Amino acid sequence: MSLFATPFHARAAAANRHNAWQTRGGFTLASCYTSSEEEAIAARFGVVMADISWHWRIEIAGIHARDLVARLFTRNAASLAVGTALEALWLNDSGAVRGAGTVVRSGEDSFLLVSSLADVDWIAGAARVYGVEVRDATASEGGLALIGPAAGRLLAAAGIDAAAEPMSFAKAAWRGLDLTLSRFGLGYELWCEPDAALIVWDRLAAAGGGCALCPAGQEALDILEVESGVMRAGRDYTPARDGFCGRPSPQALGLSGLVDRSHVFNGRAGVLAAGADASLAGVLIDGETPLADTVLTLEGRQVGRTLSSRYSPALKGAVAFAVLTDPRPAGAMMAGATPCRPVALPFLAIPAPMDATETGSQGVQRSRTAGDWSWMPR
Amino acid sequence: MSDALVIGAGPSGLAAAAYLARAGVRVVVLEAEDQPGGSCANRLAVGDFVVPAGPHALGALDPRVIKELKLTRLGLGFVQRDLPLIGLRGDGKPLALGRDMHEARHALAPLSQRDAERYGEVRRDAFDFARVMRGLWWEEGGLKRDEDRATLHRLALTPALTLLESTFESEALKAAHAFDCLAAGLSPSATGSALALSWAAAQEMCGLQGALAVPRGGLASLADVLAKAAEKAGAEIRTGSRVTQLLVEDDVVTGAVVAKGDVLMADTVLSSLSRRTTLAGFLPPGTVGFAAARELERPQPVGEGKLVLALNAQPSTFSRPARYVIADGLESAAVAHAEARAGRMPAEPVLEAMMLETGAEPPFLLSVLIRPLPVAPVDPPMAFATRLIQTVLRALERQAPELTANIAAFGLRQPRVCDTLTVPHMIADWRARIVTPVRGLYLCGEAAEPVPTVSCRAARIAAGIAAAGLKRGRA
Amino acid sequence: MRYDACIIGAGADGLAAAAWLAARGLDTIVVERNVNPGGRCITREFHPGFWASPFADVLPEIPPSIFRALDLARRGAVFAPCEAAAAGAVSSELLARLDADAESPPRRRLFAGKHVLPPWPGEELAARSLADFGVPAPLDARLCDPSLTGSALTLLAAGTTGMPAGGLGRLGRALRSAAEEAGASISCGLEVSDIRLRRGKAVVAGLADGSEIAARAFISTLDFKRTFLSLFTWNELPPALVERVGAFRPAPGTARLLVALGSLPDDAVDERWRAPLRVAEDGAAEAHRAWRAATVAPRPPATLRLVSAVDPFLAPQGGATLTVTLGGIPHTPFDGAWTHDKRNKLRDAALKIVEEVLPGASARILAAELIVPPDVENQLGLTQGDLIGGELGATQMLGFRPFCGFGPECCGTRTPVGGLYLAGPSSALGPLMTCASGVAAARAVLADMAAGRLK
Repeated sequence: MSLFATPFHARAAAANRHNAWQTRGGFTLASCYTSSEEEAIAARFGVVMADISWHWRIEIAGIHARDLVARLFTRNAASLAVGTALEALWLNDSGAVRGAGTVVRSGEDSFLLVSSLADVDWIAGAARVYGVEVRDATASEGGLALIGPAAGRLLAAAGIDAAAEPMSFAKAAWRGLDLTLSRFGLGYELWCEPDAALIVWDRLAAAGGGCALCPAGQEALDILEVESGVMRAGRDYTPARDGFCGRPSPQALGLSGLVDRSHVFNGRAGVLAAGADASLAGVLIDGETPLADTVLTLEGRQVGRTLSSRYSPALKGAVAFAVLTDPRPAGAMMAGATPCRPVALPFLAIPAPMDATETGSQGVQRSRTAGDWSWMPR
Repeated sequence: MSDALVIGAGPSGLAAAAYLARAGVRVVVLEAEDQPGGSCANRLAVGDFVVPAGPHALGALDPRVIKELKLTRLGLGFVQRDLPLIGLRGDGKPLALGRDMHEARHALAPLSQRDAERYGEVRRDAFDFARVMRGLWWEEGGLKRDEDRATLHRLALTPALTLLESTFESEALKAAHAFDCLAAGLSPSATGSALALSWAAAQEMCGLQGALAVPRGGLASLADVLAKAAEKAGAEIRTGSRVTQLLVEDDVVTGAVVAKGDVLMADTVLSSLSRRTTLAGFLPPGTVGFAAARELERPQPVGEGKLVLALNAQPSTFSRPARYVIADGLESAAVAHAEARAGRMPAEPVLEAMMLETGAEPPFLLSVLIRPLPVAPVDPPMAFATRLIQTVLRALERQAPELTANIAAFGLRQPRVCDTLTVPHMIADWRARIVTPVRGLYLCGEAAEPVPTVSCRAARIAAGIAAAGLKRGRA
Repeated sequence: MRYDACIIGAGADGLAAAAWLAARGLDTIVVERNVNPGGRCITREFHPGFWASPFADVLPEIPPSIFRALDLARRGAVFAPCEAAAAGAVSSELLARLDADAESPPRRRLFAGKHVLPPWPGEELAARSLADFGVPAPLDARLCDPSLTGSALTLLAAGTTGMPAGGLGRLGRALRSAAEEAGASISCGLEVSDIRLRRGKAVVAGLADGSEIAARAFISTLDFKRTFLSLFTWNELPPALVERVGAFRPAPGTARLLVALGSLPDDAVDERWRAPLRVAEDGAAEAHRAWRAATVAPRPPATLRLVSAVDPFLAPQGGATLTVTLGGIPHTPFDGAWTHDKRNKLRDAALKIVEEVLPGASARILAAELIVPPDVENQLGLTQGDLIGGELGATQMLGFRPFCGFGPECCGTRTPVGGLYLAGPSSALGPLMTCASGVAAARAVLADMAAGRLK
């Protein structure tokens, strides 16, 4: 356990029934408050709030920030509109994936990189080449992720009058507090000053009664991300830490979707040399034990390999990320000795935040039709 | 509009230009100073004399360059063909190690019987292996046999200190090799320094393996001869043109910008400057990968300095034509290296002294190369220079007591910044050292050599690669 | 046209069986009396903006292997984790036993005496009572007297699916999409009135509107009594079977109250409301005796669930939906059918319990709808409104459910009538697991077809 606490630590400690903690990004965070499976599924019913203050955030600002950002990331973040964001990778000189994150354009000449795995030396070294200032902003804000269909209801009930489109952010004033509301991940993210963190938590908890709000630990957050098809460096794959080693390439990780081959970025030659694009697929395993790094066979012939795997409580079975050589395999696929099924990601998407006034959901029989409920006396 | 630009009119730049011009390429050589020659040009003023600021003898000039560019016919001659090595220590007699094995054995016998017996054999084995290594270093197809590769691998991980300690017994014999162990800023205890020794033994001058030769007229004559060869082949040498920037489009070089603001377009550019200056200094940021840029940020902290003394009388210690290595031992050399790395002037640096050819009349010139010296000293420049001169004179004084009294003038060249040398760099393929991430841009100077020195081998190979690239581009 | 399989009733078991058979290439048709399929897997907007599942909030657990095979999660059925089953490990053994029985062919009688079948997992509980385990009795359809021997068998039925997001209707829709995507046809609004035999084998199902459906196999998801007493005439069946049908005891009925609250009292905004609240637990034995006497206990045992605390979309913002399940409610009170007065009296008794548990709730009630066992019988076709298809007693569980003494021919979901299979609540795993008996019936059909017993 590390000695750094996030701004929400006091509330997390109070709610952490089993005293289960883990270290992420140098911070101490609750692993789960009640049970990681309950918390993960609760995000599909109402809304959960998870502490993401530990996400590594680095500010890149300067006259040449646009050139740096254009060269550093595998997609053209320099052409983003102010207030929007995109997801991209950054590669080493030989085209191996060093990290993945969200690049936000926070101003005309300033950008923010948000990622789950820090890579300070690389970004700072790149910034030195361009003469751009970088500042580690991780400790300067507290962040909460609000994930679930009732997130919109929660914000309305709490009185936060702001809306954000997917992959953008907006600033809001909330009864004396300055907040940033963003939608970079699975739901909303709320960023506030460290001193105001506990007040934010308490206000949300007070407003969350009608939204089935519950706090979610890091394990639940991991489960939700995996179920939504989001791979994270460090958790699901090991990124390159060397400047010149060529592995893992984006193709080997199925992350070709985050690479724009027509854009000029550091490591482009390596990507072009590594071969054709490959995208990540999902594998539903007919069993409950996760099967990571396992060979996938179709009628005895190898068709791919699983990367990372974990149990999904919503699907009641293990799921795995995989890169398949055959894009549409037909037939009975096996992961090792267990039958499995390839599916397109996400495994099970979390319902997007619904409008505050909506009730009911799919699958519900709407209103009474004549003759159907006549047996029901009033 | 020319086909090729060569940056720097030192020996490598001129050789590269000569080869390119012979291959039919229109070449322009851009030299920042007023006269060509680079480190071989006479630029260091010593009283009324002007001497080269670089090395004072040649050990690695590629014989193929001499032959193909017909340098002998253009006037290159050698006044000394095979300088012996004479080791001077604080105590004891000078130890003369020439090519004659009898003399060497005779000189070693009083110091160590074992060394005396083994010296010839050891030297022969080292030279045999060095010749095998030419397969790698002279671009002759690499190492064929597995045992050679294994020996190379072992040698690449062995520091020179360990190698010499395990081979020889006598301190004087070990100390005599101290200067060579410090080649290119490596410490004797650093891995790769043994490889530098082997590389030196693999060279050939005037038909003799591992020889050190002095051109008639000093190294400046080499520069003159190469300039003549280049011009004769059709290259144009422009002096007073300092390159400030290289133009790159889509990772292909398109030209260079000179200090006055002139833009010269070309299809290919060969740079004889350091890797750092070329890639980090001339290219737009981000052209070189970020990891490569970070490595270029860290230059070699240790370098070589030169002190040339004009003396009124010929010192008797240095009467015989040879190269004199003044060193106390390998450990003190390692300690000196550590001090230099920390930015301090070492108390006991290693010196290589040689009398320059000036005739029988005074003043007599004594050229002293000093290793290791800090490239970025902690002390302010004047204080550092003073301490440097004092330390060197003290060391010389011990060997030649009458020396300091006879000093008429001196010239000092401080160590300059150069690229960091690594073992992978030394044993890499030639293409890896010459080719850059920018297409059409090649390195042809000391930065592309396995061990940085005046050799022109990289220039020859780079010119070949560039010419082939141009022909492919046209086709 | 002659179908391969005809499934009567489009509830959870029926749809699961249809999906299983159709996915393996059989021509399958599901016949459902109501306009919409799903059986009890429906969610209804009982008051504008307020949604609830009328018959139950949770179902018995769906085995994970079947859940994965039918891809229910990706079809929209996500379940909140539930109270852990007391006899959890036994459920996988039970499923394995049922699957084995489905696959294995019926054996001929070796001699006219009794047959000894392999023991069922959990059978040893038949000699124990719930009081031995110190576990309180369930307060819904599984209500029993905890001091009676054999009441420990209700532990086998303790596992539940947990609440699904969007109510049980999501599960019904997921199963329907699984069946339709596999290629089964679902015909709604058609009632099967009888099954005709030829040479002792079921061959044709006659519908109420006069038409017929011919099939090689029939799977009935109706309860035991309704299958044999309404689909056949008594003289077509073996007398032992008729006797058994008559002797099969129903389970206590349940009443449900769906309450729409305009706002929540402040102390209801609490984590404990995410779990169901049991009231009058110690009255289980009394309630059971009252039910046997066809009366309602003065304080019926109740289970309250604030369903909108788990799924906020079952109520509008600021409101709440509450369900009350009352156990031990007779289908026909001793003094006559359920009249308006009797319903209102029961409703008020339930609302009183709500007010006790949640002070201040009465003032915020917008609507309260009561569902009693006759309503369940009318809608779902379950005899006596019995949701679990027969009492969980020692002589009516596991190997004895529903057939007793009929030998190995009736192992698993097979019946003494050739070509007829019984899935649904009256089957061995009916009250213990959802979808399992439907899938077991489907497997039995496939096994029998492969062995050539169904032509």
